[in-house]
Amino acid sequence: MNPIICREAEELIVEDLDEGLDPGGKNRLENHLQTCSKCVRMREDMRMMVAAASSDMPQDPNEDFWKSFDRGLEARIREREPAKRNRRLWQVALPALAAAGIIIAVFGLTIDRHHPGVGKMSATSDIVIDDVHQIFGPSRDELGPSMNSGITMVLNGVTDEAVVRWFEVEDESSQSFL
Amino acid sequence: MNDADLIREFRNGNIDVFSELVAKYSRPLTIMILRIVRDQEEAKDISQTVFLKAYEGLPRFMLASSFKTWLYSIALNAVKDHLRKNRKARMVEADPDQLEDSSESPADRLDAARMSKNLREAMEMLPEKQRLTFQLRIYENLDYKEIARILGGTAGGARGNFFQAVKTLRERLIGWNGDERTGL
Repeated sequence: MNPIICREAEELIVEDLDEGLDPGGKNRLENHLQTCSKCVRMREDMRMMVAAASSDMPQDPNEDFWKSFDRGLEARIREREPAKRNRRLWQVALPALAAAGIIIAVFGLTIDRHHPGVGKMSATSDIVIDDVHQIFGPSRDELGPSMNSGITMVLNGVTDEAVVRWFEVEDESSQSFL
Repeated sequence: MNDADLIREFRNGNIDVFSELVAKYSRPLTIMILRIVRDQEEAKDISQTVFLKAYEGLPRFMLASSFKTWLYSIALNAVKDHLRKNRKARMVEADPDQLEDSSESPADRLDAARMSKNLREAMEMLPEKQRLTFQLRIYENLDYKEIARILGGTAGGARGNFFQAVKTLRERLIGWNGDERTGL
């Protein structure tokens, strides 16, 4: 067996103090220590130091400390909770708002594509009214109150088929409830 | 319920179970912090901050490590921040009255107090990782695997840090005015 040098002995001493050595390592260390007073001193120093560190514990806090700890922690969590809840709300609300915006935008564009009049009502309304005049005659406003015998409904920007035709409003007095 | 069950409950919206995790870990964690920072109010503040971070981070915690390891990692990071901010912190005077072994003579108690004080000063001068490894090993009796998981690195690296810490502490204590000051 090769004799170990002091540097290796130092590692073995720390290991022995820490986790313990296997029998082979222990044997090698003891053999070295029999011939090296410097390493014997080193082992004593380290043993004393580790023991001092292990016993140098601060006093455990008393019960008041732990009560105060729990109260303080609870208060700090509650303090954070509203902000966290608001963050959570925004985390949900923002995508929802974004989705709503996209739906509105897509829906609007679709209507615009199918019904070009929408959004250009002021430009197209005169044309629509002219068309209506040609087909159905002037509206009741243009004819004056005496001619008001029906209702004209024009859906802005839609085609002629969608124009609700004149229809007679039944005189309520003529209705019989018998 | 074990920690993983409690965490799943918490994630499912039952936030009250967090108090069970606090009840289980607040004392050992706070005492571990106290042993390093050596001030009760500072330890309390750091520990509460750690639990607050855990409370907020729990929904994102993937259970890749144990809750304890995760919590201790947060704690050690908070302790590191604290130590950096208080690098020139006052050296805590060892109070001979606090030493518990009353069987010792007053002279022995004074020696022990002086030894403790010098040891703390020497520990404060160690590189951060060596210091924390030494303290976790000595005070918390954590194995090197656990220390590596908490502080980062490997078990072998943690073992090396412990060895280096012991060696440096001894050298420093001996270097300070010889045996008279160190008690060694």
